[in-house]
Amino acid sequence: MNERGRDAAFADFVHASWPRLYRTAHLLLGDHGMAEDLTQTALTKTYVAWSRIQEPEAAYGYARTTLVNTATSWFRRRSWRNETPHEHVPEDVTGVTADLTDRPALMAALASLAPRQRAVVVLRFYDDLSVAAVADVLGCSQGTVKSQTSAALARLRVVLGDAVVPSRQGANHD
Amino acid sequence: MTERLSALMHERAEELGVPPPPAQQILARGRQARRRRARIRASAFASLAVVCAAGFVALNRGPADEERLDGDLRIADTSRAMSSYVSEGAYAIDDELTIGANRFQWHEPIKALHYTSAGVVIQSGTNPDRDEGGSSYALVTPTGEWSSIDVALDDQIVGFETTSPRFAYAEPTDAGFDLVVHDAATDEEVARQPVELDTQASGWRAPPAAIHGDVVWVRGDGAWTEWDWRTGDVRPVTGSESTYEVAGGVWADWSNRERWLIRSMDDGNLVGELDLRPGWYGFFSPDGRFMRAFPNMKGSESSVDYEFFSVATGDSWQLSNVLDGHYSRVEFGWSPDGHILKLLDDTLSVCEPNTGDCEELSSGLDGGTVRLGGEPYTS
Repeated sequence: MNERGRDAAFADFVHASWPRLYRTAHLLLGDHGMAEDLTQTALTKTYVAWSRIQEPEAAYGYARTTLVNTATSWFRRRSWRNETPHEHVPEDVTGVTADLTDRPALMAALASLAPRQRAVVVLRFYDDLSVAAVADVLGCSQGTVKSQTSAALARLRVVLGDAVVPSRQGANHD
Repeated sequence: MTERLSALMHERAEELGVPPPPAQQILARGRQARRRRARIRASAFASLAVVCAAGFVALNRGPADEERLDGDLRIADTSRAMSSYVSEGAYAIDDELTIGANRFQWHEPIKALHYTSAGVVIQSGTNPDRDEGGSSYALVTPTGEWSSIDVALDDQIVGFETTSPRFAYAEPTDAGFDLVVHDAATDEEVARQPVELDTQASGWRAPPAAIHGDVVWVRGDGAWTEWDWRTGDVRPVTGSESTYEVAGGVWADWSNRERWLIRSMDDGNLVGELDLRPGWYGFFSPDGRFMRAFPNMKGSESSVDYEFFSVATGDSWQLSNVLDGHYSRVEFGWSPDGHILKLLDDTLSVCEPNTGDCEELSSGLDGGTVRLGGEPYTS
């Protein structure tokens, strides 16, 4: 395939993958502008690696991994930590059940999570990845994914209430 | 138990107004990044002979975003520029960066410079204090091409090596520390490993790290821990309790305080013995082949101000009469291949590490904050 053909194929890939990647980015970052920037950055890096991606079905996974890793890098920036209003989420809303139609409550709850916990939650419960797949994307052990998931759900339960994240004795998050 | 959470996330995501995909913009950025990668790969091949001759191996190069700094490009040829960088090193005065024979303008004060096989990693920020005001990182090649490095290292002591584009650091986590290897040339995280380290006694936010090929060393309160980032193996380094200086694949066993035993990171074998004066301490050159020693304890001062050692032979030469108040500024750095950078007042020289013979690199360096490459950094 010549360069023009490769670019045409990549443009098709951008159109097909953009909506879902953008939504993942928005759930990770909680901001439209940054989500758009993150998705563009991830797809740009994917373009650079395009010739090495042999299987078309692997391309989306590569782009998503790049997107999450890039977001993780952004999280580590001091400025990001300073700008993100993690501290404004109430610690204790016991007895208050989150209104499921109130989507901003979800975003505020996600914003209260540590970056890696947020990534785990988005990949597990929005992208519907298995524990093993999340571990692969994040470059960590499955045990870490499980412990991060457990900690994240405990935090979300406090913020969103049992109605959204019910507590169950002996439950695991595999 | 997570079905409602999952449903809520899907509903939220579906409600989002998704902007149209900027496919042409992404393609343009991607082509630009790919051209840059190809150009830097070509320059890496061109410089390989020079670098190998100096004992370096360039690996996995290819930054992501295309930029070339403005400045005075005296040597445009990549191979010669790399040769100049390897033997003369790099330094910065505020936002002016010199790499070998080439001088470039950066957009903010430079706080620190670190050597890699792909070029110089610079830490910069609006506040010139290294630990204040936030920092950003970038890789700058000897011909002025640069790319950002997406890491937040704060005041951590990061391990660099002159023989690869990789660096290593410890990152605090809720559970302890993650050890991380990052490639400066591709701006990609190469490996990450959680480790348990006791650092309460030292008080480090994150302990110092060093990298040598496939292994990363990190210092806890008791000793160093080694992580093979290719295999994931983690082990304590026996006999490293009194070691603080690690560079260029060697470490200094300081247990007897005067005769420093220099050992290889590969196998612990003795590679050199240095007779430091009582109460003196030393810093390695980035390649681990030389050491600059200086009086470190009260009462250890002498007529000699500094002593420079060859690790391989133990031979040394002394530098005197520079700390007697005659000079307003006395600073030292290294080039990647172990030449000494010596700043006295406003004159910067590069010196032979075995003899101390010097050649002036630049004079009239008045004012500004000078940062010399190859300097060790302390917490």
